[in-house]
Amino acid sequence: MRGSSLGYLIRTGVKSVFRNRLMSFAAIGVLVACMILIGAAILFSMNINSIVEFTEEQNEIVVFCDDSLDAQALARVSDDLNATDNIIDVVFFSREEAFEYMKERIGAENLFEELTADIYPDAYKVRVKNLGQLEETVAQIEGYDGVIQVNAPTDIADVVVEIKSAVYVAGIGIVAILAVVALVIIANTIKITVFNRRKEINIMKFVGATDSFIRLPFIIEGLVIGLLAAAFAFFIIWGAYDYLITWLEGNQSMLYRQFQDQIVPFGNIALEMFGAFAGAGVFIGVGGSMIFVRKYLRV
Amino acid sequence: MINFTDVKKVYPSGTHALNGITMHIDKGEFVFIVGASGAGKSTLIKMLLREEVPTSGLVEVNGMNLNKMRRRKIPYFRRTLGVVFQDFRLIPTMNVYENVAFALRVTNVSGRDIKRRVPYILSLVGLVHKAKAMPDQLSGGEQQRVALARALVNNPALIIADEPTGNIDPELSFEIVDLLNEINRVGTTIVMVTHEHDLVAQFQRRVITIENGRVLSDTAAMGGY
Repeated sequence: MRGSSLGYLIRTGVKSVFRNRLMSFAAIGVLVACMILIGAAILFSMNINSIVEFTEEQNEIVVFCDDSLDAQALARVSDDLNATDNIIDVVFFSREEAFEYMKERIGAENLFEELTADIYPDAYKVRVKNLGQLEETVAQIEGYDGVIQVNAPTDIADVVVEIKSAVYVAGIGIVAILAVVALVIIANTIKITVFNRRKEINIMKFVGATDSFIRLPFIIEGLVIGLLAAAFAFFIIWGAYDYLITWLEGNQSMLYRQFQDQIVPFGNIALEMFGAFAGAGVFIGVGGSMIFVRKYLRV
Repeated sequence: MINFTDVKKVYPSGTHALNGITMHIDKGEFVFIVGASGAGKSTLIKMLLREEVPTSGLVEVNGMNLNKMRRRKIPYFRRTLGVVFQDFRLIPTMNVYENVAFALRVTNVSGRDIKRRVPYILSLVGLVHKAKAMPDQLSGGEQQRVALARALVNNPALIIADEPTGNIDPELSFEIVDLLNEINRVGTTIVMVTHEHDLVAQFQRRVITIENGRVLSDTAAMGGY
């Protein structure tokens, strides 16, 4: 193909978006709506996930050590804990600290007058990364030399793990359903767009246009529509998300104050989201045009 | 130029559209093909344009065997023809100039040659002053002249006109056929399908009559036009 022909076909494709502005508007509108729905579902599940992960990190396991352990043996327990896979951090909690903590908590000072810190064992407070593996981690710690007991919040762990997997499954499910619905709607919109121009395609065939000559402007048109839709959807969702966060900040509800640090900033996923929108827009626009134009090329 | 040898066409629905057509049209001829609705004229045109292939028999146009033609070769074959349809088939989003230029663009003609050729062809059909008009701003006769200009612009050896006067006034019909007559005078073969007997009678050219998918009569075979 001659360079000037290629230039002509590209210009024709871009012009077609504006020439057929009503159908272009419909196609872009449908794509934008679908992308916004999917983007919102992703942002929502990411935020829920972030909050659940934060809650998960608040776990605390107390590892009680044998009274007979000397400083060296206690250090060995610390090394063992630090070397355990699922553990984020290990903090020593001495019997003296435990004694002071209990005194403060119970409040009845005279009750502790005749007692010493020896009534409590030395302990380590540890936090685990993945609550789903809590039971295995506890079992592993209980097997270490010098460990007499491990107190772990297994009930809460089960609930958090369940919430997390529910959010994950629901998130993927919602996005998948929206994606299928979006594809069906978009496919029909492109089909109508091409159907409206079947005569044009037919004329091109009779003046001797090759299939690639006919297809290229449609592909360019699909590309432009896909990219425009991606850009619109991206900026709309960005603006709406920022507006929502500002509104939540202004309201300062208890729930917001509790989790404000866990809200995912839009900047964290902006690049990925734009990439996904643009990729999906181009794929759908170009792919849809190619599939549906094909039908009318068989003349 | 055109050879039909015992061409039969049966559609998947079971309709027998052509029942053994044999005809030969030489280079430089002007031939009217006439027949009632359902006689097989449309199928015959589809064969000439390689829109359909025969169930049996042989179709040759411009020296090419259309039965054996591969799909990707069809556009190159169609560039050797000029086609005019009853419904004009102009691209509604392009102006007159662009509609005519389009037939050149698909054949990779340079921009410079397009600028030279299109105004010349538009002058032949008397529409230079309407170059920037859109198809919906033209009368039926004018639209058909644009379609004729588009068919001519590639300098084809053969023009196929499928009821080109079917959608225009009788006085303008004469004008269109007269234009085709002029084109034929410089050596272009013309095959025109029509059911307007008055026009056929006025121009005194070879007439092939089709009925029930067969050649009923051919004035050439009868020894005169």
